Parts: sequence; structure tokens; C-alpha cells
Amino acid sequence: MIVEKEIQCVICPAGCELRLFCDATAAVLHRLEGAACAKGREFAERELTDPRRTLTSTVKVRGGRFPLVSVRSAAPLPKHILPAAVAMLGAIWTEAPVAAGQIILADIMGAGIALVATEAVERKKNDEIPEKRIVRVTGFLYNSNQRRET
Amino acid sequence: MEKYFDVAVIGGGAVGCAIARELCRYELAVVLLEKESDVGRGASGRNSAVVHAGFNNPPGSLAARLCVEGCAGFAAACRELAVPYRRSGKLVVALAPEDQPVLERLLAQGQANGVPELALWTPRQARAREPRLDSRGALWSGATGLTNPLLYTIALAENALANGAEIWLNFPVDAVARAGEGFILRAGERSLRAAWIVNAAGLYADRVAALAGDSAYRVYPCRGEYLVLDKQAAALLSTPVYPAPRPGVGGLGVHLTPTVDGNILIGPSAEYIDSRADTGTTAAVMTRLWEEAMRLLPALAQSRVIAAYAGLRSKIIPAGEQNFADFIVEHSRAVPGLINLVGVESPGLTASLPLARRVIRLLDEKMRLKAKPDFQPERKREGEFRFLPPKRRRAAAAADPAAREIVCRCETVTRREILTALNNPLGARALNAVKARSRAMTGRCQGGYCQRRVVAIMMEEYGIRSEDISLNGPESWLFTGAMK
Amino acid sequence: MAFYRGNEMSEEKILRPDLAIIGGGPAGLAAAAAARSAGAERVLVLEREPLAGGILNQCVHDGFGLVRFGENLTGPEYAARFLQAALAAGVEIRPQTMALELTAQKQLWILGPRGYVRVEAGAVILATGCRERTRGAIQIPGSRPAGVFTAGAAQYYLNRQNLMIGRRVLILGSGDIGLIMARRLTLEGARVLAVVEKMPYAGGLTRNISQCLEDYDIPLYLNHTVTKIEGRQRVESVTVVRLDEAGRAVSGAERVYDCDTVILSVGLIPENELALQAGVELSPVTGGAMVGDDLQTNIPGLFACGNALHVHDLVDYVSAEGETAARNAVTFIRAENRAAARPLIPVRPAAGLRYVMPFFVRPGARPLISLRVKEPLGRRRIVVKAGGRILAERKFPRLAPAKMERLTLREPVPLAATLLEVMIYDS
Repeated sequence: MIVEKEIQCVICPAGCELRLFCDATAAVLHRLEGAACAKGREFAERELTDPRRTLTSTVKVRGGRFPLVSVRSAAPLPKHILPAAVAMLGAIWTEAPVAAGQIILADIMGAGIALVATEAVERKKNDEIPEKRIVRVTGFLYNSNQRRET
Repeated sequence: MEKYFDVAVIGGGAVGCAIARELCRYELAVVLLEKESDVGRGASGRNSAVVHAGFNNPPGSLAARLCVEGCAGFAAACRELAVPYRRSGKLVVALAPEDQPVLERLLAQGQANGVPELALWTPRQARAREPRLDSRGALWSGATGLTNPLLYTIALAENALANGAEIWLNFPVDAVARAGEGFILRAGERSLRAAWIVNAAGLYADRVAALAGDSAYRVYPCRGEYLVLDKQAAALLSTPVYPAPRPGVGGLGVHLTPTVDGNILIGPSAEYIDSRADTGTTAAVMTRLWEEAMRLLPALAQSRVIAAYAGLRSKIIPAGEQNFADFIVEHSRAVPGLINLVGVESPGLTASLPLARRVIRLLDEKMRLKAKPDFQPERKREGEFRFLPPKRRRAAAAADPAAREIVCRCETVTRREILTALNNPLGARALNAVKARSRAMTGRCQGGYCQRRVVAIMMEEYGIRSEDISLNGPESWLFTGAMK
Repeated sequence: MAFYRGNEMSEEKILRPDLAIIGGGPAGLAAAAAARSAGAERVLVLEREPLAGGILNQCVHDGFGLVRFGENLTGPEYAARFLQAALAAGVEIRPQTMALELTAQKQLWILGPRGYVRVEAGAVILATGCRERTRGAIQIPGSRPAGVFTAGAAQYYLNRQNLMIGRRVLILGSGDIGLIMARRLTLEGARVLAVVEKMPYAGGLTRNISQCLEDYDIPLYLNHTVTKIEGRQRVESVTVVRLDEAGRAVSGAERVYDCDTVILSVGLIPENELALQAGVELSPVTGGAMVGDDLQTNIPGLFACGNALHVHDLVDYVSAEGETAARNAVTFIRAENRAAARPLIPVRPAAGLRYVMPFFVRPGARPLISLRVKEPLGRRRIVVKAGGRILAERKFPRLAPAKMERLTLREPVPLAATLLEVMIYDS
């Protein structure tokens, strides 16, 4: 029995609408319609057996000019592990300076794929530490004189 | 033991702030109590920003007298308080033949009230002033002016503070008890003692009076919605333009106001509602405002709306009844030591200082007030970067690293101005407090670009935690905290 | 994010670069490098952020550079390539510097770490990008609580400032940034209840519908809109209503969502504060300058490109447009072009087209034509004609408003042409 399935190709902005004709288990692709290029077939086959997506997110940086560094998986990850992978990234800290392309994590959740920085984050220089002002903020409950001592 | 004050003013609107400030001219311990996180969060910041000349109110009324007096002194007050003011004049236009007698009646009423510089203009005269205006004639009022009502309210509060008053924000009075000759006022766990209460609570004036034991009043909220146009429209109009008032409208009708900041306001509508908190806008009114604006000035068709807001008038006459009720400023008949201001709607902003002086007279009747010799009526404020000529911009930037960075692109607000706004003497540190003082986040991007920069300054330079950053106070949080 | 760089101030009153580029995003950086290779000596890029790269720096997701590099890059990676190329080419980039005024004589005043400085450049390129439409612009009724963010602002808070903006989110508008944020917020633990789009088709690219919404089971409601935002302090609920074919609310088809956050992804508008000041003629359709095929505005020597000119779908084309503007600016600086009047032949789009870029062409030019359709169309043929002559023709399996299509003329605009027509035919 041939099963028909429609999916969007997400490889490029063209966003081809693919029509897949596969076997009953939806694992073997017999015929493909709608792909404007060869990458469409590759995508469709993978989508049937092992759908993958590139993970892009951010990781916290200590001592950096910015609080976060943007990261990506070096290759697409199995789609189903993305949510857990992003949750896991929340616990990670990296130290500035960070170089673009630097490996932040060698293996994302045993998938054998590294997490790499997609930008550089310099260390915060001393002269860039903003001047601190003497202001006491205690939430927004003001129950005493609001006048500032000058 | 609670802290003691001679006078507690309840309500940090333009009127309450003016009262607090004027009380500082005397040897009195004064506190201003405001339920919101900043002053001017009610009707004072949600109106047409017009300083009225005084021809809209019946001769002999308190509103008419105080409006004329307030208008005459407004420019000087704004100079003293470093608040923007422009003597724009105003046109009330006739669009239909039946409007002409209305203009004549307004002229007569204005003359009876002692309003200067009133004249009936031909369509040609009106066009000479506003070339895009198509009318059948107009009433010209030369004395009408424009201000920034929020900055005016803030300036009064800051000047009161500088002259020794205390201002307690986030203090919604929820109980008033007698204590000897005076009162104990409470807001949740916090409390204070005061010999006198001046109730300037606006929309809540009836409830505050009732808390103190005086149930003589009832306030009916009447909502007015506005649209704010992009500055591009400013070239189309320089004078406030009002339609000739039609009977039965609970306001002056939908009019156009070119603000001191360069926007045009369209509004307000007038709609009695049940809630005193519902400052929401509605689709139906937004459409109608636009239609009525088109009737007055078709050239606005190409302009863009950047924001909408609504304010609530504190009416003391219910829907469907006569159009006019006078301001009430009086000693409570039920509760000695309580002075009530009730039904102070338009022209309350214009009349704010005269209203304050009237309150002082009422107090003076009961206890001889003693003038304070060191009262300092002037408030200093740095000029805005956007109004500086190139030479002075260069000097400002050379002198101050924080003047070399623009935080708000639409309104050209520097980092220094944001810091000054955040550092305000009232200690108001919500985003809307910064907005009111600096104009950041008020432009065509409505904070799309600058809000995050203001947030960064609050976090980096003031050490405010992300969870504590808010629009108006703790309930209006922006962030749940750090994402990771 | 801003940083003080001490108190360093040199006496600098006027700068005279050959070319001043306003904006160091993908258009400006590409323009800068291209201007250097075309022979401009002193090229100055004015960038208001501490780091050049523009909006790409907050676009941590991938999908950039497929056309240009054949690679799938993230925003920061794409930006870094152009930043490095510009720096290697000897371009001067001034960060934290904002252009405040631009006159009709293309004099500029800038403010930055070196103070308030006048700039007189041989030519100026506007590469200021675009901004987002706001709640005010689309007039959503209701109260004004905290918790209403434009998609780009939300993206900045999450991706750059590490701030989480809410827990239960409704997204109005199906623009690409909104779709990307739906995925990002979901992965970061928020609940995205729905994406609501008033048109019968999505505003973003289909790949983003698929990989940002469908992958995460986020519903997309076409022909729906938000009619009310409620909440005194923070957003408490949002009313969504179905629209009929005429775009009117269907009564009884309301649904109220309990949520604390509303994200608006309702369109982008070219940032043209400076262009307006200078008196540049703007198109009411694109919101950008009415340029000729050389991307020059009505002010001689003032050029526009990238999203400041018209909102693009792909950054790759933004960069390419920046390069075109730069080459033409260099030609202008060399005075070869100075005497030439602006291109005079108007370009007329067919009724089904929202706009065609450029607005004018010079006789003899062989410009690239970019266009967008008003509504989704099936198989069509787009033809560019002058008089009876077909100058370009391309078939499309389908056309969507979210996608910008491009055609290159196969022969120059005839010298005798008086009108360039861009037609759509059923094919």
C-alpha cells in the first residue's frame, strides 16, 4: 500500500511543498513530487526516518561584554531531543573571551554533535564597567521620605 | 508611633501636587499621598494638554473664575517650574450654519467671564491662521495655551519636595480613622497621622471622603479616548482646533491639539462607564475619533496613529443630565478637618494653582497660616538635548560622556536625560516614570528601539533586578527574570 | 547595551569621507566593502550599536546566507563575514555613533564617543534598516498593560539581554520574526498558545511555518485577529476573533485567551527618520525612498539600500543591494554621474503587484528588478516590457507576498523607452 504525505521542505527559503509517496510504514520513499532541487529528496528521506533540525540558542557568559553568546549545533540534531537539549543549555556557563567557532560542548546529549559558538564575546574591559550610581532600590514600596540626600 | 503631618494631601494629580506645593509656602509639615507608582498617572496625564482661557464655563461659576485666573498665571508658573508652555491660541470652528450662534454664545460667555483676546473670525481669517482648515467661521481665543500636563504635575511635586513636603508613592489610602483632633491614614500596613486632610483624589474623591466619614458625594467616571499622531502630521496644524460644542456632549467635543512635543492629539470622546479603572480604548471610538478628525481637518488623512490612550473624567452629574456642574472645594460638613475637592474635571489642570490657593484660604480660616520665608518657587531643569542648537550640542557632548549617546532615536533623548529621569527626586523608577520625564518611548517606535536600552541602564547602573523592572509598579512586571 | 569608553574626546569638528554609510548592518557593511573595492578611499560606517551587524546579531537562528554562500549560517555568523570583509578592506566603522540629522545637501550630524560632529561626504548611503509596526500603528483596542512586545524587541530581550518576557504568550501576526520567536519561546519554557494572522495566508516564509510552528504543535489561525487586550497592570487576557472574507469580525466567533504576553509581528517599515528630514521622496507603499535603478534618491548623491529601501525577505539580497548602492555611489563620487539627471523612465507595476523596485530606470541600464505580489498566486509568468519589447521574463510555480521575487533584464532598457511595465500573466 502506498501512503501519501505532504511536508514542507525547510532546507532553503523556497520552502517547496513536497508530496511523498511512501510504503505503509512511512519509512521508505517511493516517489517524490514538488521538490525543486535534489536536496528536497534528501530532506524527504531523512524526514521519514530520522528528522533533524539545527539547534540554535544561547549560553551564558561570565565576564563578557554581553551576558550571552549565541551557539549552534555543528550539525542537525535529532528533532526530538531539541527541547531537552535547550533545557540543558540553561545550566551551562562559559567564560569570556569566547571566540566564534569555539566548541562550547563536545557532545550534545550523546548525539555525537558539538555545540559551537556562533559569535565572539570579548572580556569586559575595566573602563567599560559603567559608573555605579548610589541609588537604593528596595522593590517599589516606598514607606519613608522619598527625598534623596544630596 | 506614626509620623505626624499638619496636612496630608490625598491624590498626586495636577491639583493635589499644586496644593502640596502651595502649602509649602507656609510653616506646615505636608505629605502628599499617591496610590500609584508616580504622580500624574490619572486624568492629569490623560487629557488634551490645553491651558483653557475660560469661555466654556458659565459666568459666575467657580470653574470659570479659577480657569481665567489659572490661564492668566500659567505661563509664569511654567517658567518658574521649567515646564514647556506655548501660547498657541485656539479656534472653535463652525462647520454648519447652526454652529454660528453657538460661537456667539461662547464669545458672550467668555466676555462675561473676563476672558481676554476673544474674537469671531471669518472663514478667511481662520484660514489665514490654519491654511488647511475649512470652516464657516471660528471663535478665536488668543489666551489659550498648551503645556505638557505630566511634566507640569511632576514639576509641582518636585518643587513641593524641594520645599520640604514629603511624597509617598504607592500609598493607596484604604482607611481613615479619627485620632484626637486629627486622623490616622492607612494604606495596608503603613500609616501616618495628619491634622488635616485635603482630598484631591479626583476620580476617587467620593470614596476617600467616605473613608473619612463623609458620604456626601458621588463621582461618575466618564471616559475620553484619544489618538496620538506621528510627528509628521505636526506640519499640518499649529493651533488647537475644536468643533462648536453640541448640546448633550459630556465634554468639549472631539478636537485636535498640536502638542508642545510636536504630535497631534485627536479626542476625547465622552462615554459614561461603570469602572473607575477602565482606561481601555475601544474599536468603535477609535474609528469615530478618526472620522471626526477628518471632518475638522481632512488633510490628516495621510497621517499615522502611533498610540491611543484614554482618561476618565470625574463627573459629579450622572449620564443624561445637565452638562455643567461646578467644581466643589469646601470644608466637609460631616468631618471637621477634611477639605474636599470634588468634580474637578476640565479645566482642572488650568485651574490647579488657583484651586490650591482656594484650599489655602479654607485652611487659613481655621488656623492662621504662617508664611515660610525660605520657600523657593523655582525648579531647575536641564534643557533637552533635542532643542539645543548645534554649538551647544557639541559643548554638551564634549562635557559629558552620557550626552554622547542617544538612547531614544525617535525623540532624540540622550543617556544623560534617561539617567536624570531615573534619578528623579520622587524616586519613581518605573518605565512610565522615565517615559513621562524624558519622552523616551513616546515616539513613533513606541519604545521598540529604546525600551530595552532604558531597561539596560536600569539594570546596569541602578542595580535594579530584572524582576523589579515594571511599567508602572510591581504588578506591571516586564520580565519573569533571567531566561537562562 | 552601552559602554562608556572613558572620557576620551579629541577635537574633531568635521569629517570629510568620500562615502558615509549610515547603518552597519548587512546592507551597510556590504556596501562599505564594495565601495572600497570600487575605489572609494575613505569609507565611513556609522553604527549606533557597540557592535556592527545590525539586527543579525540578535537573530541567533540559522537560515542566512544560503543564496550568497551556499551555507546555512546563523545571523551573527553572517554578520561577522561582512564585518571582517569591511574591516579587511580598510573601512572605518564608528560604533555607538548615531546620525542625528541629514540635510537636503546631505550634510550629516553625528553623535558618538567622539562628540557631536559634522560629516560632509562625497556621497551618503542610507542603510538604516527597518523598524517594527507597533500596537499603536495597528490600533488594537483595550488597556495598556505591560506585556505587549514587538517580536524584535522580544527577540532582543531573550537573545541579547537574557531576559524572559512571559509565560503564556499569544502572537499576533505571522511575520518571520514572530514565527522564530514562537519556537524560541517554546524551547525556553514558555507556552505559546497560538499565532493569529488576519490575512488568509501567512506573512512569513513557509519553511518557518513548518519548522517553528508545526514542529512544536503551535496552532496558526488565519483570518483571525486580536480585538482586545485586557489587564490593568500586566496582560491578563486577549480576545481573538475570526474574520469574514471582507475582513469583518464574525460575531460569536470570539475566543478569549488567558495569557500574560502578547507579541506583535505585524510588519516592518523602512526606518526613514533621516530621509524624511532630508526631504527624500518616500513611497507610500514601501515606506522607503523612490529610487532609480542606481538606488539614488531624489537628492543627488544620497542612496538607499537594504531594508531602509524596502523590506526584504532574505538578508542575502539586502547585502547584494548594499553593494549595488555602493558601486553607484562611487560612480557618483567620481563625478562621472554628477551631471546626469535622475533616471526618468518610470516603472509601472501590474495591478497584482504590491510594488516593483526600482521606481525609475535610466535608458541603457540593465537593472535588477525586485517585486512582491499583493496576494498568493499560483503558476504565473512575470514579464518586464518596454514598448512592445520584452526585456525579462520568468515563470514562477507560485507567488507569495512573503517572498520577494527578482528578475534581471536580459537586455538594457531601450534608449527610446518611456515606460517600463512589469506584467503578470497566467502561464
